[in-house]
Amino acid sequence: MNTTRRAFLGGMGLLALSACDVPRGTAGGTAWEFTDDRGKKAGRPARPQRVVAQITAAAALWDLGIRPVGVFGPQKRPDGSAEAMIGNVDLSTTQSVGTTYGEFNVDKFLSLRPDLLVTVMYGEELWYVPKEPTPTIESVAPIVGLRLNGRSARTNIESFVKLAEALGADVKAPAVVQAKAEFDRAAEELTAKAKSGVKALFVSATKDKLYIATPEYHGDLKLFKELGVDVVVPNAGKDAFETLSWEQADRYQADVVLVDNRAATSMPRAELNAIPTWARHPAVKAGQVFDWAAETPYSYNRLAPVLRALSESLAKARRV
Amino acid sequence: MKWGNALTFRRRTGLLLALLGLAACALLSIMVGSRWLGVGTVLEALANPGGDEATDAIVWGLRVPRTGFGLAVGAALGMAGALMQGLTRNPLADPGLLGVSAGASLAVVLSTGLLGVTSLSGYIWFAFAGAAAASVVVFLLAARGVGGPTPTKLALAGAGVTAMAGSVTTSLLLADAATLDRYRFWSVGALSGQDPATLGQVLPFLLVGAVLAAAITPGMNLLALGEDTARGLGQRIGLIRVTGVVAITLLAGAGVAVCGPIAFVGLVVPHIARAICGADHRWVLALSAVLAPALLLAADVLGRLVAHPDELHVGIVVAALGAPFFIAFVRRSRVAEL
Amino acid sequence: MRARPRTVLVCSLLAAAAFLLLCLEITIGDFPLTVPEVAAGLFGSGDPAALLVINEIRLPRALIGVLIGLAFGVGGLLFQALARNPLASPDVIGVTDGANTFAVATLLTGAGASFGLGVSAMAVLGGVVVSAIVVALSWKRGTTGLRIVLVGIGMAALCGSITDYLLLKSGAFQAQQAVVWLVGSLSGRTWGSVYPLAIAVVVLLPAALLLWKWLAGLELGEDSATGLGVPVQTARLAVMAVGVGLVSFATAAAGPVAFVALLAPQIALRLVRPSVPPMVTSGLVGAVVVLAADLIARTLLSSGELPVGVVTGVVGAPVLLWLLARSFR
Repeated sequence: MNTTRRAFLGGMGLLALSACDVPRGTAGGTAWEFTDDRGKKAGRPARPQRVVAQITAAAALWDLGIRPVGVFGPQKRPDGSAEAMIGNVDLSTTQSVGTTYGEFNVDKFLSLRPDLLVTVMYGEELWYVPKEPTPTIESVAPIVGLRLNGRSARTNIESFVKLAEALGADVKAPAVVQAKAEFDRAAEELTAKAKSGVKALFVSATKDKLYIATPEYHGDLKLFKELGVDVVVPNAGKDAFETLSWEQADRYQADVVLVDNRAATSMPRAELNAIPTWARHPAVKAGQVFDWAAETPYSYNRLAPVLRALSESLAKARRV
Repeated sequence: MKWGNALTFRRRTGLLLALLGLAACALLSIMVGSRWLGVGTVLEALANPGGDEATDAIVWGLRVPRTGFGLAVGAALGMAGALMQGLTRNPLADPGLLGVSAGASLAVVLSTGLLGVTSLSGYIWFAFAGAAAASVVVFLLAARGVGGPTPTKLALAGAGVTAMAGSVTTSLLLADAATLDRYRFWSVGALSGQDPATLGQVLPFLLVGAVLAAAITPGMNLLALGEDTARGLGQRIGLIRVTGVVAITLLAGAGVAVCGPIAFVGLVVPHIARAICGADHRWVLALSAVLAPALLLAADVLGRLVAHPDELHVGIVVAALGAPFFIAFVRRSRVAEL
Repeated sequence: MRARPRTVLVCSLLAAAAFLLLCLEITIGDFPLTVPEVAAGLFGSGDPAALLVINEIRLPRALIGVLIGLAFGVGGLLFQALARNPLASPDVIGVTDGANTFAVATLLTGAGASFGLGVSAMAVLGGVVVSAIVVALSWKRGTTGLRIVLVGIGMAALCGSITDYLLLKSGAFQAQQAVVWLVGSLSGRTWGSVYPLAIAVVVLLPAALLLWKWLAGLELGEDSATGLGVPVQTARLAVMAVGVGLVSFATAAAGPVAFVALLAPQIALRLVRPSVPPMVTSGLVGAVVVLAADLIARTLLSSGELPVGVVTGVVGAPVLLWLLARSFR
């Protein structure tokens, strides 16, 4: 048993133990290490080749040239259409290890012979990774968790770039450099447009509640704010949203309102306009309501158009 | 004879007090909300619509429709509960038991998840159709074999269909976080955010259901004496049961379709009604129709105040408010057996 | 308890089915393994990754399936006999809802973490605390089945509304995690979940079997039970206690797996048509239902697994309805 186990550790390249008894950095391969946002060091004797990633992370890494062997998290809706958060990931080239939070298929995960698991974190929790079998998972593949809340979209993109680079992606490739240049240009343009001082409110709405988005939780809003856009900060601390009764629809004054455009989570514009207190919000009265593409993957390619769209919306708007 | 008079007195005062309570709750529901407007301002807006636009938007745009929904849906759920418990002679029966809530929920999830229906007016009819379909299946199943749709068979068939529809619903919800996101709000039940026009659309169904319910209560009283006795007195048991199921479907189906599956009201209110007025189904139905909307509106008002500037869904408050009251009530009184 | 031939036959068949399903649970999965590999793996030899899959993932999962099936089957029967009502599953009595509320609070807000209690421990705590409250509140110079059930409904509604509130307050994805828990799932369970459950079942199942005489008396109603010399109040408390224990520990291990507790006794009743509550049959039916449902849950969809609780409804409900339709004739 002991010999097979040792062979396994050597063969699969298992770290926690082999780090102690195998001299690192010699002969075989270079030791690979990456410190994640929990402050935990993920290490392998060689650079991980077979990555299984949570879908948001997979989408970000994909645009940098990393191709995960497996993904987990929402992928398709029941009607067969793709979720916005998959970005450019080609689902036909990866295996699904689970779609639902709480249903992570460890059996399937192990069958992919993974050597790294990447997931995102909001707060301290590793998203979608089941707690009980975490030691089993980590005995096969170390886990890298990247925290997304409380940081701007640019910081989030950069942390994926850092990971992709560590995984051997060519982040100086022309495609990546060009995407970044476009992103930077769009950012500059937004800063210019934001000089008009237009105040922006980001909301999601259901038939009985209005939700005001918090920049401290949403990386895209935090980026807009950093770029000079006057984003309304609701009284919600670090929560994703402040929830309001429709009677309080005019609690936050703003010149433009950007409404969550995910069909399934936010109500259609026509029905929204039928809510009497919403219709009386100054920005709505002025017709300055635009789309907010929530859940855009954190990559230069994906966020540049979002920045441009916001610039356009701000350019169209006047102060009310 | 003397005892009979005392009971009659008790029933009449009970109903009168319940009506007064209901009126008070309805008034509160228009006066009180997340935004405090002042009694005078609200009364002014009620008397002269078209004054201050902001006040009108809240009073006429939000609170009046919401109160209307509370009255209609509350009465419907209360009556459906009274009928359900009377027909199945099971004190645990609630309007959801015929599969009504589960059928409606499944239909809502199917329509939002698969057909992409996102507008409220769109899924109201799906919900209604789902509720009706589920109760038809339950009834047909229970009607098989000897004795027709007996209480136990109805209850078990209802539980089976509920579980099945519920499981399919959950599997769809888990496949799609976005649909779950929409559904979890619908499923708690809310009086707010409904298009006032839908009230007019479902009102005919509620009225027909109420009339049918009232029509069979004398028969249900005789049925309570035992099937043979009822048959001997010339009652058509099958007809009573079919009518009862139709009435429950109309009442609970329309209620669930509009405001989501608000639990607890239909289950608890008939127990309270029976404690006040005894087992006579006519009185139980009438009293439930008044007490249920009172409970619903009271819970809704409370929900607007406790989470300011947010609100709590009425489904949550109804249970939180009703449960301790119900438990205290079960402890104090002799629960009337069916 | 003199077992009748029919009961013995049914129980043997059910036990055989449960064993077969258990073997399938360990053999079938996304990690490709042959039957000899699995057999060797159980004795500790083979590819290390395969050993991990067999011994750390599939075996605990299958064992939990068997154990919660037994616990829910027997627990459900106890509650139905106590309340003398086929609809009285643990859900109505508040045990499940208590466990749910405590578990969801732990999942979504991290409550309990400060005392070092995980989701499972909190679920057991919730089930026990809430049902103790139910008994205490329904106690007034003794209690009755109906009063326990009605108070239980009240407490269940109260807990349910707290759970709903927590769900609405959380983000969409965490809500999904809580819903998976609320439906009941065997996914990602390890030996850490097996041990407490196994101990509970080993202690409480024999206890339940010892109660069968009292239980048979209670089912006949208070007067007949007293006539038969059953100490009614003590019997009710004992039945409650054992039932709550079984259901709480099972819920803690896998979530409520709705419907098994309601379904298994009803199926058992129709299979053996007994003169006394069919405890063993009910437990075995529970085990077969859970294992079969989990096998389907794991293999049905190519895109991912379904929580077992979803499938118990989809699979179990038609069985119940079919049995109903048959017995209605």
